[in-house]
Amino acid sequence: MPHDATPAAVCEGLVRIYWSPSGEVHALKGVDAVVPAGRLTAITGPSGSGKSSLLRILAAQDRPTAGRAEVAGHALTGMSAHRLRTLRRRNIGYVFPRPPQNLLPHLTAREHLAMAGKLRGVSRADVVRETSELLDLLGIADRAEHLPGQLSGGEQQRLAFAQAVVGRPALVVADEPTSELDSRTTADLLGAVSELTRTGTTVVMATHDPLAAAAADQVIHLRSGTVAHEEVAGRRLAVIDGDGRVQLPEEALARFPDRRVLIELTADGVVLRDPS
Amino acid sequence: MTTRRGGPRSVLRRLRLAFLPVPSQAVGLAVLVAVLAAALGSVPLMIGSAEEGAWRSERARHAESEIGTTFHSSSTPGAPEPAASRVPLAAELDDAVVATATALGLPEPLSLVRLSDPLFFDTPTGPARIVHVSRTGAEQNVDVIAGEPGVLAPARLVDLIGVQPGGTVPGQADSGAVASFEVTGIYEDLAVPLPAYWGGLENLFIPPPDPGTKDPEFPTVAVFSPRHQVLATAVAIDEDVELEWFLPLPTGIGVDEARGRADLMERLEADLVVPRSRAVRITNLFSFERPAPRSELPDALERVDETVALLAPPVRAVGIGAGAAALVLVGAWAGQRARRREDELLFLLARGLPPSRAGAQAVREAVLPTLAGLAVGGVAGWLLVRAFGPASDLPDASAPAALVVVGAAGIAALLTVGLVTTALVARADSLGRRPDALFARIPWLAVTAAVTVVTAIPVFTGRADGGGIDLLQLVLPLLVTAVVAGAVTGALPRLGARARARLDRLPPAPFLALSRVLTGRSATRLVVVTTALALGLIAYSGALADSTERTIAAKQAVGTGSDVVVPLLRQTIETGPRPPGTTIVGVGTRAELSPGERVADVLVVRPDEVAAITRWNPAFADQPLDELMAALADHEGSGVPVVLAGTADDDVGAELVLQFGRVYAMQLDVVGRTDAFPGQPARAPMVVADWDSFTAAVEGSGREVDAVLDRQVWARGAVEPVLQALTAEDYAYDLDQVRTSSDFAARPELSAQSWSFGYLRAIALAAGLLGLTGIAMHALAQQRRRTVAALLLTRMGMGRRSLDAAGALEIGLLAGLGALVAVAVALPTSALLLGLLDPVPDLRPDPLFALPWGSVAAVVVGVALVTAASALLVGRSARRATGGQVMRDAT
Repeated sequence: MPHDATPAAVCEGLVRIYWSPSGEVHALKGVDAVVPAGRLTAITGPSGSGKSSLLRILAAQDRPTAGRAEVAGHALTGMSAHRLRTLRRRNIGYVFPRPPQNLLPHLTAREHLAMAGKLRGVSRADVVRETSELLDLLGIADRAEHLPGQLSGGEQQRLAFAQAVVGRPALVVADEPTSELDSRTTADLLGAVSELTRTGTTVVMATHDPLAAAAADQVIHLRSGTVAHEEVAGRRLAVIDGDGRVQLPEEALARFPDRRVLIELTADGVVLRDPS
Repeated sequence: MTTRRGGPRSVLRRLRLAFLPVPSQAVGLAVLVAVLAAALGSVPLMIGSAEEGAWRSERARHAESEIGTTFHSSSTPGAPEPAASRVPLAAELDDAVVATATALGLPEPLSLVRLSDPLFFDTPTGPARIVHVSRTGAEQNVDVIAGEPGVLAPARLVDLIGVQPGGTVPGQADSGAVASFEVTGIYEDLAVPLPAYWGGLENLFIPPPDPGTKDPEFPTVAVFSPRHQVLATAVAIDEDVELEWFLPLPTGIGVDEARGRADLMERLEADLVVPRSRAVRITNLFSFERPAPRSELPDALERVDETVALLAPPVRAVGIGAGAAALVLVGAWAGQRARRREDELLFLLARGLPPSRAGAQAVREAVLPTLAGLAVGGVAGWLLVRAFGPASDLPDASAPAALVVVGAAGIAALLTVGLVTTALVARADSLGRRPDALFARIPWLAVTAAVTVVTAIPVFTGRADGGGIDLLQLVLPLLVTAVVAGAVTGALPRLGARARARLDRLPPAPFLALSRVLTGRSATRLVVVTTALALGLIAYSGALADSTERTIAAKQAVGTGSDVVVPLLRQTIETGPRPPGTTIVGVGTRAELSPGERVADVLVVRPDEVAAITRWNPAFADQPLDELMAALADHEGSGVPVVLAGTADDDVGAELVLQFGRVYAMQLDVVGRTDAFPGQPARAPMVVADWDSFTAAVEGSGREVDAVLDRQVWARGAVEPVLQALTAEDYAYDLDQVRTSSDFAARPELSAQSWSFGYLRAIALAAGLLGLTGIAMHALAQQRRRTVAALLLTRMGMGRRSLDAAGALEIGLLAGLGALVAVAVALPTSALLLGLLDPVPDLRPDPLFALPWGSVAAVVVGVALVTAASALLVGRSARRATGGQVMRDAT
């Protein structure tokens, strides 16, 4: 399926501030990111870098304190809780990190997909068709009548992706889906996710796992609530925000101990020099 | 294992998944709803049971002739027409009344027709009197020993004038007219007590006192004849007749039937005055009195209503309080369910489902356990009320009312589950929510203490009104318990900090247990407070119930003096020897005690007899009764020796003057004081005097003792033998004035309070059981939370037994602390509140406190049992979890 040129999600100057008894916590400090449709995007970064906050906004589970976030063509700013829920129900699939969080112990794999379709308002016939396709695509067709307890960890997460995809949402958000899997199972799962993206599904996932990051079409690396850099097709890109701010890579930053820089515009590009 | 699609098993599976996905959780809800249903459903059942119990008590207190209905009429003496022309119409009036009664579906009344005045005849020992009477079925209810039914004379008449069947009895009316009738048979004299059929007609066989002199009239004989012969005799001597129709109340009927019967009696009374009816025609045209009913039934039903009116508010307060507590627990269950299934709920939220959907799902899953709980609780409540309530049978309206209440309880439980779940999920779903800093910063202990003080003010400034416990009096001890338990647990961390050095020297198990308890975490506080509340309710209700029982026993002793009190008719002298086990006392009222000019009652007793007859309560005085009576008997002063009752705390001198109006005064020497004395009729002081000294003082001044004293026979035991013995010794009394201690105990205010406290005790017991079960559940939940810590401790070398011992000790300490607070608060609080719950404030003594040893023992045993059971459960649960599983689940 050809990739849609319209991005699945766009963030501009995204700020998210939490309040805690000890004061305000600035989780996101102006994040600019674009999640292209039909691709697998990974969000990486150390703990506390803002991955989960960004993911919650992308999953329409939270609203930004400032900045613009647009998911599936809907701007989240000012959106009511009711409309956010509607957006989630119609356009977003979600995968939790631990398999037990995604599955109900008393439902079979097929029943999970049926329930997911029902909740999303998909017709019964479409659900049956999609169930068959997804189970085949993710390699768990022979486990359709099994309960979660009878599935391996990888199969459980594949099932979690399958039910997140039922009804073809605009965006599937996964929070560290491989955190509890071994490397082989992780590879299997990532292969299955790649298959999903090939069918047009947009997946964005937070991860610490280098394997998962490597499998992504695009990697957004966060640091201290901002985008440190992006990696697209093996190339590492810095991000310029709408006000012209660029976050330098750490090795580049180390060259400017005074935090001052001379900028020269040349025919080939822009050159930064130490003023001293 | 794989599941299969389609087929009946699949449908059943889907139904189970929809309605009962987690059976173990459902059991908890079913138990709570059962408690809720039992608590709320028992309210109308208990009120109904009390209504029925009060009715049965009233029925037992009244003779059948009193509780049945007697309509009375007569041909009016002094009417313009001569009696001879009117009296024959009595038959028509009799038939009309009987027809009217049967037309209403009532059984045929027992008709009685008698001459208004007896006939006199001469006997060798003087004139005697004949009551000529007819009564429906009389010949079947006497033993005919000679001749045939027809005109039946008693064997006593044979003894008096030697009449035999076939002989003639002459009789003379007051007017001088003479009538005679031929006797066809002789019946054996009836012995007292009379058979039930003759109830209310004792005056035919036991002569009544003369209305003027109060002296009994002897002898009288009853001659039974057919109605037409009685009327013929009346016509012959131009004498008026009296008519009575007795409608007995069927035996064994409940309060509903009794009310129905009372309504029928009212309808009968109304039908008998319907214009142009036969009965009215006769009463209007021929000067007969309108038939008027006489029955204790309306009064008995009024007392039943009074009992219910007094009992219903406290029972409702207790039931609703218990129901509210159970609903809170249902809400807590819903919260716990939401927490245990947090993943599932967050999963639904992430998919964009509204919180109400989660609430609806929770309600759907709660339907089956709620229905099961309602059924079990409703049946349990019904069985318990029937088994331990005032009556085993319930009025018809009770069951439907209970069903409605139980249904409402079920709806309330489902709503609670739905609302709590929705609220919790909405809370999880709320975006950018600030933390609940304000909620967390509220000083709950101080707020609860303030609420307690505010609640205490109206409670302690109130006055005893003879009613039962009200909501504030119920809530106040719980608030005090919560405050004290909160303060104690709040002090635990400070205590722990001070005892840290000593704790370190303890072996691992007690160290671990004490450390956990003394940390005083919120879970610890919650357990101690809820345990203290649940167990405090047991101790409080036990103290109130036991104290009320003691108070009622004391007031019963004061109110009636002894088991049976028979006021003797005035001018009756002690004709014969007093029956064994009785004493005669003198009673005077409205005497004046000087100095101080206070109105006082007077009781004159025989000191050597009264101690064995009366019921003495040690709370009445500091001295035993024997000592007080010995002081009365052995006094050698100039004044009359007396014991002053009701002035124990007053500053009253030892020498007083007692005045009976302006007629007579006597000098008193006070030899003892009591707070109350048996037979004391009011809160006013009572002078208890020695019989010999008192009568000697009165007679010494030339006065009659009987001018200032009425006499009463006091006796222990049942009333019938006492009355028989008195009758046999020719003592005269008025049956209506006879009082018994059981009559006193049947007073509505006493029954209502006794029953309502019994109900409170039952509810408290259920609350206590629930509280102790909660502790066990808390222990299990703690164990689940501490699996990792327990595993690490085990791997660090701590033995399994030590871990189990630490768990048991911790639970024991928490439950014990809760129990200690419960008992320490409940006992003094109930002692303070007792003064406001005086069921008969007009009677001494003040309410007496009783230590509820049974309740305290129940609390101690409950704590011990729950500690042992929790230790077993926790140990078993801990051994089930493998180390690997524990660590995996902990990630």
